[in-house]
Amino acid sequence: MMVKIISALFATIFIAILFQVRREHVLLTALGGGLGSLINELAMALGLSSFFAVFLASIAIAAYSEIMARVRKTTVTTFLISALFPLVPGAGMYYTMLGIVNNELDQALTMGVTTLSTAALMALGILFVSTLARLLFRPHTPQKHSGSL
Amino acid sequence: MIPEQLLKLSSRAGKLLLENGAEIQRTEDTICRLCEAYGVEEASAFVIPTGMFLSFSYNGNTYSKIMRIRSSSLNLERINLVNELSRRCERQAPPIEEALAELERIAEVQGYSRRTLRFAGGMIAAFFTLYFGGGLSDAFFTFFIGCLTQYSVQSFELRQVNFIVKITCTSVLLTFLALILQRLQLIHHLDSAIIGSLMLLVPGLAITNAVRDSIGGDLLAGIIRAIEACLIAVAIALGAGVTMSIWLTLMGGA
Repeated sequence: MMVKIISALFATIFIAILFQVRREHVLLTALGGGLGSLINELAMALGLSSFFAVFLASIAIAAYSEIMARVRKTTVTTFLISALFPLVPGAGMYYTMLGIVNNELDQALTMGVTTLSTAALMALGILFVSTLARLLFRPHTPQKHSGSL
Repeated sequence: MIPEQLLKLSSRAGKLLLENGAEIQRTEDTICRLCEAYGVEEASAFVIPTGMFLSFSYNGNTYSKIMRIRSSSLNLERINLVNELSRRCERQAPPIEEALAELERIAEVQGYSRRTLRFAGGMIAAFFTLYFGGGLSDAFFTFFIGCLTQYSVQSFELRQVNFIVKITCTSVLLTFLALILQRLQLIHHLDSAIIGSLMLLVPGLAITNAVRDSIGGDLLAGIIRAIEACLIAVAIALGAGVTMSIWLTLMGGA
């Protein structure tokens, strides 16, 4: 468990570099990645389902990114994208397609549904936090052209 | 103010954002914000990952523009800079020429060097190998696989090769390397090593963003991103699967 959290933290440092995040923000991003992994592992250790754990972790990451973006006066994406990376269901996507390539359709279907639900839950977590942030920080500005959230 | 100039400015900003991997919502908002900062009416933008349409009216005339976006990669620093510029324009609009020059400067911003990116690719692969349950020696050797993977991606991108070909070839390369290293007894957890290095290619973010766009109301953008993510996953699995089955046939069980 510790190995997972620490390796997620260090991986996030280099992901941030790969995505060209500015030098002074790299470490802050990595903290976000570590935080997400910590919440994920803690929730799993408490016996929650892996879906719920990912949902909680992405809420934590999104909240952290919103706060940091306001503290450091930069875009939320800067912190969000790289910090989410360790949780993102990349391996699931790969196993789904590997199942299809190897003609193991049952396994592919199971993995595919898991992957899609994980992605959907993460997206929902991020959406909740960003909607909340918009309500909290800009309560009186009429939004002229905001999308239908 | 010359409306054609504003059209150029806002479309350039939108293109820059999309090409560097910004969200649809942010791109649309930025275009409208820039237009409104210069006092035109009915500014509106319709953006999908592969192109955008924008229009506004000024002095009774309507101006519009279509842009086609082909390549896109992730560069968060440029998104950040364009965002800063648009906020600054909103507070107090500088002359359009100045803003255009600033955009050109942003487009030229070079972040980390290609060598740093290759090193980062290696480190990502190594740490994800640990994350997926590999040992220290596995991580050490996947570092080199990761560097080579990133190198391969970079060289394909330089030559503007089709993204399916790029990803299939890279995935063949990295699976092959992992199999050789396993045969040499240098890698013990083949699965973690392969998944760890594949994390550099895998479309996990793309699929999450696709769902995010769809939930946020940009359904068309969501569908486009989802199809792209599926194609990337097929390419990776094809490369890895074919290499594995050929290897198993030729060299016997792993």
